[in-house]
Amino acid sequence: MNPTTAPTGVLALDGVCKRYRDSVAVEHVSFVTRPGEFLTLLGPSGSGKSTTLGMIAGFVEATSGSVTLDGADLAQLPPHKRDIGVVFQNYALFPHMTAAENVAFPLRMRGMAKAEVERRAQAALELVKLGRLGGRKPKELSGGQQQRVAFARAVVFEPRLLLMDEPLGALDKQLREALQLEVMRISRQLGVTVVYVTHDQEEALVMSDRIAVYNDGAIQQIGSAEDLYERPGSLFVADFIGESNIIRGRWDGGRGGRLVRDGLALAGDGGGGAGLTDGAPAGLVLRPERIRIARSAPADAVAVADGCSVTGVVQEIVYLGMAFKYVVKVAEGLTIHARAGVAERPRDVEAGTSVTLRWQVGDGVVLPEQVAA
Amino acid sequence: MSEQRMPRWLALVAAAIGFFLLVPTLIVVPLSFSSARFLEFPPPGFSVEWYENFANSPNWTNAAWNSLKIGLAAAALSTVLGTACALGVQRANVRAKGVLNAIVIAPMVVPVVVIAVGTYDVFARWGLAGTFAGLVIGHTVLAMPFVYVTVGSGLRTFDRSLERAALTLGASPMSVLWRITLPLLAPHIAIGALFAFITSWDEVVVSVFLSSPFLRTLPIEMFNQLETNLDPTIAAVATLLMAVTTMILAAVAVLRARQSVRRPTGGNP
Repeated sequence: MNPTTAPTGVLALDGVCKRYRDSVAVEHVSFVTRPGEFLTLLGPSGSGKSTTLGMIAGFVEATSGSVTLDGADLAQLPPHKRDIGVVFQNYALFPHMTAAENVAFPLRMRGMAKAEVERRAQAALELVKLGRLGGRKPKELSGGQQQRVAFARAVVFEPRLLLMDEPLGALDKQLREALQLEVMRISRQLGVTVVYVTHDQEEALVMSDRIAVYNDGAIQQIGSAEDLYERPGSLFVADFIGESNIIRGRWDGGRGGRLVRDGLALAGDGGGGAGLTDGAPAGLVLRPERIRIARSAPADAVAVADGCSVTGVVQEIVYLGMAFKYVVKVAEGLTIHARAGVAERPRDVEAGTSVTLRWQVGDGVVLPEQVAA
Repeated sequence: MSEQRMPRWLALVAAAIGFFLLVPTLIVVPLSFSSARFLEFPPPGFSVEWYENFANSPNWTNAAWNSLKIGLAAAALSTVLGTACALGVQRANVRAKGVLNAIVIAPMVVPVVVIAVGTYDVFARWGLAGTFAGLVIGHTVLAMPFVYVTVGSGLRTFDRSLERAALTLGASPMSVLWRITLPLLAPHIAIGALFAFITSWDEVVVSVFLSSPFLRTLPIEMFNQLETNLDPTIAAVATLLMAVTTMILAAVAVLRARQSVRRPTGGNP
């Protein structure tokens, strides 16, 4: 690389929009990556994350807003001059070329000397542990191997930025998990900034430095996995990331903040209370693993009064391997899931048992109901 | 897929249809090896005299040579134009796509006589009637839609993410065309080229109008000879024509078979 330009891979999107004649695909998306960061765009299909990727790669023209890489405006550059590596969902390997030829392709397009091309292509194949399979055509490789070739091809020319569009979506779970770790290892080793698109929240939590959660064409929240999980900024994020109980009701600002519903008043942290006014529709987010479950005792009635517990009847107990999941009916039309590790599960609780669910005030997050756009 | 056995009666009907389709064509083969002086069935004896006659007659060999040259030139021209049209029309981002498509395949739909009369009228004024170039252009008009259709069907199943991938890897749009799009379409282009050649090779109607006594293609020479001397040479020529066409269709079949083997590439449906 040329040391004078000191490429670092800082990608900046500022107010990027993509509108079609009668719909909006992406609405005012802004973010700045840190050099070498692994940023994941996470959201349901059709939420605009792939369109965002297309605008960065140059396949989709932004309606407004700017996309810059290390300060250079990408709108001025056609896709083949952007020097951005892209790994496609279907791998997009050239079927008429061998794995080695596929990996050599970007180097040949840059007019590199033949010997150098071969050396670097081989090195890239070895990086993804396919050093011996360079002579095979894509159709002679397994899905995982094809994925590795696609990855090697996208990084062999040392791009500052690597875009990946659901690259592991077509692989089975075990292979996917192995490749997740490998993609992380190699991209850190190369120091390349990665923008990774997925709809799989588990994948996003495992791989990312930061996650941008998409919904309806806009970024709902951007932050580390822990931020999103522990401090969701909206009910959508709380629902999308991890498993959570969302109890919908109305906000009552008195007594430290309660969510009122069906005669229940449940305590939760309303944060700064932004968007929450007394009587406004809101949701209480409770992670199942933060709820402790125990057989009800007569003294519990006192505890219920503080708002951090609720009583109900166990409807179902599901064995998950590393934990048990309890489905507890609290009121008509309201069930809460609680989770207990195999070692600490209450042995006197069975289906039909009356139980008390407890949590810490800080573990419940109250967020305003989003008004549908 | 569970294969079901065909009922016997259906097999018989199918065999009968095949028989009636093929026999009128195939009957010229034994006739061409006949030792009789006239077209006579069954042939009284075996002889290759009529093939010798063909090879030794300048009228026939010139016509065969003309057909070959015109066929190759028309095939080359229609392959380039048909491929370009297919790429252009398929990927044009315009409302009038359907209209463009209809214009390009019009020669397949319009009666050939109409095309022949129109072409003759214009080419006579331009001095192209009776020339090599005139026949090549006339045949190209008829042959190009075959290339257009075969390449077009290849494009419909073409995975455009390959082109996008090539762009992101630094290939200019021109490099993408030469290194990715055309190589991958090659089997379709080759099939189109073969069909284009066959179209020219046994074309009669346009050729009747555009040929001259000094420039005849093989089918035109056959018509000519039918009127004057009806000997088994004509059967020999017909057999040769068929042999060429059959070989080309076999080549098409082989290309198609290889293509369907090559199809599965990506991991994703």
